[in-house]
Amino acid sequence: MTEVLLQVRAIGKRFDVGAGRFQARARASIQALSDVDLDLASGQALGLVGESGSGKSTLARILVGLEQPSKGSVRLDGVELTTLSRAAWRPFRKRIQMVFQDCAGSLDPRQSVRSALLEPYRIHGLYSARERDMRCMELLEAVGLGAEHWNRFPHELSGGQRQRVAIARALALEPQILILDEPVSALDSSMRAQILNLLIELKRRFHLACLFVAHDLFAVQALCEHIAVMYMGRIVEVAPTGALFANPLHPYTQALLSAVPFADPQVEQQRRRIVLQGEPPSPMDLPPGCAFAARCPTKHSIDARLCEGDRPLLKGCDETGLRQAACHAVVTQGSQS
Amino acid sequence: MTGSALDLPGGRRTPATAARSRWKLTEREFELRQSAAATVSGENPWRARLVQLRRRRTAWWSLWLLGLSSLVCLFAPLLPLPSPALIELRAPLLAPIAPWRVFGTFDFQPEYWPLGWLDRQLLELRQFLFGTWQSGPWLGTDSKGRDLLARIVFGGRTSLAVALAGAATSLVIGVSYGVIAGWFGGRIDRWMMRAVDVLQSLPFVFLVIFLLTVLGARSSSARESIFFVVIGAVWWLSMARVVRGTVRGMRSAAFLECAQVLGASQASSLVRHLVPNVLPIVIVYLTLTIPSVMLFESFLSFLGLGVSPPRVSWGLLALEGAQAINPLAIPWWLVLFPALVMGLTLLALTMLGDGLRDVLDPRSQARPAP
Amino acid sequence: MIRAALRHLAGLVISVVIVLAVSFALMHAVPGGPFDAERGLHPEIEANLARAYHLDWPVWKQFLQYIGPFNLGPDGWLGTGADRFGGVLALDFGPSLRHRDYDVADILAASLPVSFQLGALALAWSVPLGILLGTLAAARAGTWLDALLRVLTTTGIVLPGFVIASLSLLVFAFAWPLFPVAGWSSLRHMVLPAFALGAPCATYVARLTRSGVLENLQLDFVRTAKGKGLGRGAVIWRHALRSALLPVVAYLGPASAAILTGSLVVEKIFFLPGAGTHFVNSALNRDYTLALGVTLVYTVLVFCLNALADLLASFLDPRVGGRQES
Repeated sequence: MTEVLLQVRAIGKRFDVGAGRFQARARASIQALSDVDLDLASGQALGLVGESGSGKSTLARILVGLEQPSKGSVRLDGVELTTLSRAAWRPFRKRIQMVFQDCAGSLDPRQSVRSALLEPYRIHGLYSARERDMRCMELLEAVGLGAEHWNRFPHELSGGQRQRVAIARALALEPQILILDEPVSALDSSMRAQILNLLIELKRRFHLACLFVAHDLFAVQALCEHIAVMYMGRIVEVAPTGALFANPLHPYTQALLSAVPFADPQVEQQRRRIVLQGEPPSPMDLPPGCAFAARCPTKHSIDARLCEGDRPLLKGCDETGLRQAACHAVVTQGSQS
Repeated sequence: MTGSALDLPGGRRTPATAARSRWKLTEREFELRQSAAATVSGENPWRARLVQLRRRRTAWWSLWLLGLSSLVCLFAPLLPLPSPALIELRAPLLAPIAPWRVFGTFDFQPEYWPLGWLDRQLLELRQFLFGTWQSGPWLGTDSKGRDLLARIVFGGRTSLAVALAGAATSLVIGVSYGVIAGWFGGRIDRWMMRAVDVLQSLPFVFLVIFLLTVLGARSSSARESIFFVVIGAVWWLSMARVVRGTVRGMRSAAFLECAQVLGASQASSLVRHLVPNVLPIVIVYLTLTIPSVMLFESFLSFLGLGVSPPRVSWGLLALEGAQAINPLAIPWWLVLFPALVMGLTLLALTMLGDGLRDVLDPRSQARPAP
Repeated sequence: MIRAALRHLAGLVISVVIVLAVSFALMHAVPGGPFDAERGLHPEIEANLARAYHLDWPVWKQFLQYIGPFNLGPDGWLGTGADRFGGVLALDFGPSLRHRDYDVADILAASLPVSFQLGALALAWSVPLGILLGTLAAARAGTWLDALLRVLTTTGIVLPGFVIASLSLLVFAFAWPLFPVAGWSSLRHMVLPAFALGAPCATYVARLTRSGVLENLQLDFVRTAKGKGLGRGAVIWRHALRSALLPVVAYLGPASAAILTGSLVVEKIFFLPGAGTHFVNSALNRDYTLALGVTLVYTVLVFCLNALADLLASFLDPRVGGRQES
């Protein structure tokens, strides 16, 4: 195994809501994340997949210090990040960077591409003026843009070009870790493929460890060696990409995969689609058992009361320990085989 | 992936060593690209707005008109105008005489209220350049024989100065109030905005006049200096509201979070990202504040509570005009010309403000100009 | 609704208390102020003042007496019978500093009706006319009527009220004597002042209505009404205008404040015996008690009108029960 760079342990996050104008007393809280464990190895990419509201973006924001977790720890090479102040974070910015989903908003509309790319160097006081310019130019080429974009402003660029600039800026400090928060979901599909290819290339060239947050399994597949699936603030399954696609263990993952269309019409016609019934539970009022129990199609194959009353923990499901799932049914299967 | 980790011997890499292995661009290649980049100039948002403003003819001409009249007002002591304060009881209520009939006379007497240092220099230069020559009574004279044109120009000086000072005060108060409320949000914001709500529903004019009454008891100069501050202090409310709204909308903007992730401090993202993006809307509201401050100054002067004679302002001129009318004599020029000048200036300011709002306010850009 | 009303009331109470406290402090602190020894007033007024404000009392007691609404006795704290009430909250603003033998309350009682009549008259013609003109301009957008109206509204916004008043006096009373120059006895006396006072308001209302109606004409429900086969007139008057009136209603508060402010100059120009004239004169002669009296009455009045307009607008607005978060 390669060395673990970023270690996420037992992260939980609660948001207080309802402290509005008129309901000052009617406070409630949303459990956005609970007990999330992750390891990010150097040069490896981990995909984090889940539907909207599953807490995956919150996790990404915690990792770069935009949010404070309610509990748990994030360690980079053994240094605790969650308790750092904004100033104390600064040296770590050179090692961990982020690309945001909103490519239109992540660039200041009044900054040219050049000054946006120079900004990280200016903040950290790195290099001479000429070296800065040289690096920026090279970064621009690394993300597939050219000298003709050097003096452009964000409103003159397409969505894909803006996202390329955002990626280049995140890479300017040569981080070891890049957090990608749905970097392609705001783009149209042809652009999406281009950016994904770019990310694959950059990951190899800069030897990046990536956390790729997405709601779409296919987007993650090409880039990531491992995939973690989230549901209602918990990780329900972690597996190497190939194994996950070949044999999803958790019923939620199975449902997700069956919803992905295949390009081959024959396969498409033959395969079985799992259509989930019901709505996900309210994050303000999570059930005591498995959060997926109410919608789970395989619940009835085992004891339903077990699923509804007892929360399954993430456990290793094969010899290597690389495959993990949080499901009572899976554990039963694993012990049988 | 384990393979690629082998490229980096020696365990922990530092950015510098990694960089040496990774950056490939040579100086020569960079220069080539740089010169290629120089051929493409991006459309700077500020310059783009300027071009848009230029296309709006009324706003653009208003800008020119205002610039020109501010210059005239600023250099008023340099112009060969009669003295605005010299009382000439031999020629009261002279009707306007066209320039082609009486172009000028050699009667100039430098009589003014106490002037500042710059104005004294300008006045000396004027006497050096023009001697005792002065323009004729092109716009007529008032009931004390003072030249109306000179009084309008010098009155414009006062009015513009008050407007600018008041607008600057409102800018400082409004922007800091709005930025604080918008940036911190939450409870602070709620209370601050509630205070603005309450203040907005008070009849400020009455309070200001009452304040002037009490505070200005000592002398008229004390009253005048209070006056500048008080006027600005009244007009910061809408500025604060707008700035607060913009800041609030921008507080969660992704580019501020990006700056944080890049390591920028809170102060530096405030200065480098927030301020440039709030500035356009501030400019718009500043342009719209100036005419209302000007109106208020003339209003107070008209009531006799503002600028006091022998100084002159447009409001005071309007007052004198209104007082000069009686059933026996109707010196229409004393009412018409000050009103005309004031109306034109305010019109130009309003037009410029509207044009700027169309161009600079992102909210009004979505819909076409009415 | 009730919540909003209560919030307005709380704001009113707070601001009145602040105005009172600040004015009391100012009057005491400022040299040359009303309670300064070297002000050289008439001895009779001096005596009135000393009696009304109990200048021999400690400051806190003076303040309580000044606010009211109860008269404080020399040793106890309540007077009896008719003397029980006093102070600002009982509408007793003390004696005028310049008008001998007059209390501020007397002057207000005589002059406020004139100002209110004038203001009501100005509102009464300007708002309906503004709505009518605005709707017409929207209905005939782009025609000469619209252009004419735009010129008029721009003039109304650009020209200060006192210039409009002086010009109308110049034209309609001197050059072409249709109306009397000054005075306040018959309806003919009221025409010019009410016109000068209401004109800016009318133009603003017209502008508001025009843009509101034009905006509404592009909305879906208006298009539906058009699609049903309603005539253009019915569409505009019944559907588009109705919701365009909301901003006009909300503007009534600021409008009444503007009218009261404008009444200062209009009363001065037409020599009307209203509260505005008294207020301006009191400010010029440093008649503090009178100035404070007018300021307080107008503060409360404008505050209430603003609150009323606000409540009315939110009551009429089908979308929001309370206030919108901006």
